[in-house]
Amino acid sequence: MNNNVVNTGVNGLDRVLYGGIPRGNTVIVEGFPGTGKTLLGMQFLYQGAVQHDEPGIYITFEEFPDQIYKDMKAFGWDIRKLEEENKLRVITLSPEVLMDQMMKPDGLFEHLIHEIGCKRIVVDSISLFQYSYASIEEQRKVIYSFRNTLRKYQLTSILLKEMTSVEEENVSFINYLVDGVITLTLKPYSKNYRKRTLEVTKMRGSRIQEGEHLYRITDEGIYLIPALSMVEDEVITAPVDTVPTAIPAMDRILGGGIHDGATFTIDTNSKSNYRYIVTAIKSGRIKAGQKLLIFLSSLTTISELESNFKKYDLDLAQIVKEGNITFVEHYRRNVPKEYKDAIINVSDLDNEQYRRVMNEQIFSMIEQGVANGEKWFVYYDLNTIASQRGSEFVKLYFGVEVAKISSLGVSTLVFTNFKELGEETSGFVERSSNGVIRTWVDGNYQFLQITKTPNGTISEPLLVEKIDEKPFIRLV
Amino acid sequence: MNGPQAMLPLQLECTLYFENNPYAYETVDGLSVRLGRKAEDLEKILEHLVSLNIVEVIGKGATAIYHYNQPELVHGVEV
Amino acid sequence: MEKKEKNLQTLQDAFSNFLGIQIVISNEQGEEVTRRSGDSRFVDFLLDQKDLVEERKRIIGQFHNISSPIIYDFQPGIKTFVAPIAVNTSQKYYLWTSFVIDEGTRKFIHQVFEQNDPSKDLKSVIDEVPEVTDEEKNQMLERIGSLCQMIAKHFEADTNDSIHSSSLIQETLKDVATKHLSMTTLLRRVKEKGKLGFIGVAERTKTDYFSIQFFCGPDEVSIENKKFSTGEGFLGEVVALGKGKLWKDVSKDPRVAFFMANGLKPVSIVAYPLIHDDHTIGVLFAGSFEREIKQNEFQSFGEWLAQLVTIHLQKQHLEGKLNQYDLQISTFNDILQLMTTMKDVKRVLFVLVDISINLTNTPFSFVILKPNHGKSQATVISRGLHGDEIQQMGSELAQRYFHSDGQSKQLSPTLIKPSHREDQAFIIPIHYQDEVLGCLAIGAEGFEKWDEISHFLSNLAMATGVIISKNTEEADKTDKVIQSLYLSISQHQPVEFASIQEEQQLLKDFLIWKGYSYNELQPVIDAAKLKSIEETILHEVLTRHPTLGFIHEFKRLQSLEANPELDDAKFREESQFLYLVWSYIKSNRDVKKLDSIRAVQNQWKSEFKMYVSKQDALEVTIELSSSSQEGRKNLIDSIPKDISISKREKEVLNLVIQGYSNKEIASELFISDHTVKNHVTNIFHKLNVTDRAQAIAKVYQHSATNRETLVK
Repeated sequence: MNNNVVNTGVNGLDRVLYGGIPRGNTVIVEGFPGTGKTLLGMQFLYQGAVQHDEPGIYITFEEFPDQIYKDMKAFGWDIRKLEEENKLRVITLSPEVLMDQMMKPDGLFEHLIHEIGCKRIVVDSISLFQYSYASIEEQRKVIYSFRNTLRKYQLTSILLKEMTSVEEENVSFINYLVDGVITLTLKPYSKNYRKRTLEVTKMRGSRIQEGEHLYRITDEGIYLIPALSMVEDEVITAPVDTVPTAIPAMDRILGGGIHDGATFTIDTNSKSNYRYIVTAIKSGRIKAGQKLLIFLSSLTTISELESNFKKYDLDLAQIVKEGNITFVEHYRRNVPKEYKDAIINVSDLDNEQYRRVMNEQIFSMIEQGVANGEKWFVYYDLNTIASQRGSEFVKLYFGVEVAKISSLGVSTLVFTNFKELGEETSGFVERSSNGVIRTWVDGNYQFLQITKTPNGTISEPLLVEKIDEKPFIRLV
Repeated sequence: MNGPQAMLPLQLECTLYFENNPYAYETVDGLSVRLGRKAEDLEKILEHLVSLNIVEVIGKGATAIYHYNQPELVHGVEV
Repeated sequence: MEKKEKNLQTLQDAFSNFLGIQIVISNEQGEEVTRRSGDSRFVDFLLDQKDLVEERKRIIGQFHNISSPIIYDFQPGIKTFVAPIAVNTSQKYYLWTSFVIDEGTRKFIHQVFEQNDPSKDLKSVIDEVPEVTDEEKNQMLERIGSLCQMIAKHFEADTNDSIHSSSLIQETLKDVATKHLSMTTLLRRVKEKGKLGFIGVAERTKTDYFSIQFFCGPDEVSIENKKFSTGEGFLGEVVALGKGKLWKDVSKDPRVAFFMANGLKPVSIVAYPLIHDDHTIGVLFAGSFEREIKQNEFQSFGEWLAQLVTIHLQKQHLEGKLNQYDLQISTFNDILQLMTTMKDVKRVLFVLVDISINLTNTPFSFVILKPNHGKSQATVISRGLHGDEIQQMGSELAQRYFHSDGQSKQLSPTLIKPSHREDQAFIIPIHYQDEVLGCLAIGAEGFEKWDEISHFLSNLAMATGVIISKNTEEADKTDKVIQSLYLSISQHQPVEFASIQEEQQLLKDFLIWKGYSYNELQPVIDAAKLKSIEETILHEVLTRHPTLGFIHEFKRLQSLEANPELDDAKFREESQFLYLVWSYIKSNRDVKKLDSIRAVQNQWKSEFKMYVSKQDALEVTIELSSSSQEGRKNLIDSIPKDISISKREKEVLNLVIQGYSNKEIASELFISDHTVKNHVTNIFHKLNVTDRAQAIAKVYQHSATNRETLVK
């Protein structure tokens, strides 16, 4: 552990700062109301006290402490308990009184710092100084001596600053005076949604990852994803019997990934690009050593699949050669020689014959495999089944087949388009699924929302952003 | 104010506030906002509570800061 | 019910995994109440052949009297374990395991079954039944026995529906504290939550009769204003007894006519006298129609309720008196409400002390808590008394109120003259039912209106009694679970147990030396005791206990050690110490091996090494000096004269060397924590060291150089 930097309590931010804030630095965190400044400040103090045994003081000029205690409870942070353990203090004072006590020898400030062995300070918010001190001269003087006092006690401090629509000259003076500036913004994104970004514009004594980094406010506080980070860095600790989808944001909502035995439905319209989402999920399964049963559709040919898999560093031909993928083909198409053995062609079969093949050949193959300790995953193209076998067939047999697969502990991804399927049938499919992922295009953006999960969490609509590296999409 | 007991309910209210927020540091004005009570009443009461040793005061005048003075807690008294 | 069975399943799964056998639990009819955990091909085979429910029922019929696990020969030579789980007197479960055969008997068993097994199916399943030695069999019996006890113990607390739960007590206490809650509403809530048929309160009238003033029963039935005298009927009996009582199966008791006349047909009745300041002011009673009220409902919740109802009744009487004193009942409610939200008894007592000072403006207010049974050291909270005065007042009150077992106890407020003081003191005992839990003492000088405020304060003291006894009961319950789990290790793993004992002692000493307080180190010590038990079991029986976090981190440290590339997550230092001490004991106290531990930060390793070597040094020193006290004095005197250490600092340093924490030093020398901290900082500065360990080392270094000089 590097003792010269102070972890911010936000993992992503520590990475942006290559470890944390240099010890003793005074840092401004600025942003419009609602950007999460208070939360960031409290997270800094809470994690400091709990993880690093560094006591801290939260000085607020406006909020009632009671409100802060209550707000922080929502993140599971028991502030009162930390106060009893002498690891945190929440102090409400006016700027004048604070300055008065800071300048006095043996004043409250010094007293408090010694009492708990304070290492971190958050001031909420420094903007109020401008109301307390009339002239700009005076304000500057006060803030200057304020910063010097923080330095004298070697406190690593975060000063919260309200942004106003007009940037005043004075503001840049403060930014000049401090060691670091972090800016939080909330930008409109598409018509109904906004995206939260964080940018470090200055940090003395530290390298920084430049650019705007996205963050979200989660149950555990601020969660920041550095913009340049490889997705592979995001190690998700998944419960044993879930398999990650290769899309971290999705795994977080799903509690680690798709559970063995779960049936998930992905509902798309023709405009949206589902290719990466679907391939990401499949690739996760392959990498977890599972066997796949894939229904080919009119749009997905073997060669298309081949190139999709290649993007995820998977060699489809090789996987097929090892006997790890079986295809169900509803069309009469030419296929490369090396795939012939892996394809069960059902294009000539009527519904009765098709069911028999499914039962006797395919399900029994999976059943046997499972009995031998194999793990299986089924990609079920319901669009193809509906168009080739009719919606009556779907109504009669979809539930039966899904239940059968799921009873073997095999998970299924059902690919469909609810709109085309019709209200009644899609309602039925939705009810039979453990989870539903919907993706649609609205204007120039594609959205993805997880509207049903086994653990009950539902995501807000997330933006699907195309990126250049694996897994090629990021959910924002 | 007619003697210290006349404002007893408010005095108890102040005491309970500090007991419930043992780590709060308050000026008279600050407390006045929190409790929604008049600052001049509170000033006298806080003075009285200081004389009873229930609260401690740092500083004087308008910038005086009050906070709870925990009673002495002794473990291991032989009985 | 559902939750109970889910818990049962988790415990069973964990144990099945732990013992490596299949386990299932059935009710007395032989029906499975849990899912089978673990595999057994033999059981699968049997399921095809026989109706196991019937089989179990048959066996339970044979053995319904067993009170501990038995081994049962299901088929000649093929044995299963059967164990009873007595959840309560009316409910019993049975635990069944998969099968075992005695060592060396497999061939014989094959011969027996050969004739009846033309298909040879049985042969292969018998081959999979594990062989066990006699010793293993006995061990399994013991383990299954302790599992059953654990299950029984765990469910003892949760059984009896909601009435037993402490959350109900908490809720009711809060109800009492709310401003506008009427007695009838309070009773109705208790009746519903406790599944009672009726509940009511009678109050003493002027003519010394008791009259039912509040009643809550089936619709349209009321026995309000019915009267009884002391000694008359069930309710009069508890007045005469001065104690609560439970009557079961009362339908044929002639005294039940009191209720029958109004159409109430209770099966069981429970009643408690409401006592305030040594007077019975009323009776709380309740009855059930369909089920029997159980003994432990009666003992736990009923008694709480009686005290709470007393407080509630007294509040009405307070009203008149308070008005003269410019106080309102709402103030009382505010105080009570604050007290009920405080989790810490200490802070509740702060309120009691401060309120009495506020009301009286007298020179001191003082609370002493009666020490736990067998302990002689009490906790005191005081304003206005210091040092020796605390000691004297403490022993005086203890003499009067804690040691008077057997004599009639004085529970009402009194004015006394303490032997060591000039002035008088007003004493209000804090009690729960007739047990004194502590005392509030208020300086009486210059205050004359005791009559007016004594009701207020004694009612507050009564509420304090309820809160204290509720808190200790809960703490006791968890302590008992931890203790019994710990002792169960001594049965299962005696060797492991011995080293855990060694381990927790060393860990405790080390943490004390580090300056941990008792409250801080206890969960770490508990973790040392329990870490060999499966985490799932622990989570089940010790929900959200702070020790669980340390155990979890300990286990992760273990796997991290084996697999360093796993992750570099941060661990609390306590968990690292836990792991360090465990490794150290495991390596037979080999200091050199500590270096090879990768999962622990170097900082902690070197601190621990320093501690261990200091311990060795200390043993040597004690041998050298005639008495340890003197030895330490010499040690401190050996500090060179050019380092000028004040007398107080010497006292502090002396205690630092003995491993006292700042808190302990503060209470030893009667100075504040803050002052101790200052002294310690100064000492460090003067000795040119940065922490305790270095300070101690420095003192020992000086003492060693001194001895060398003397020899020369």
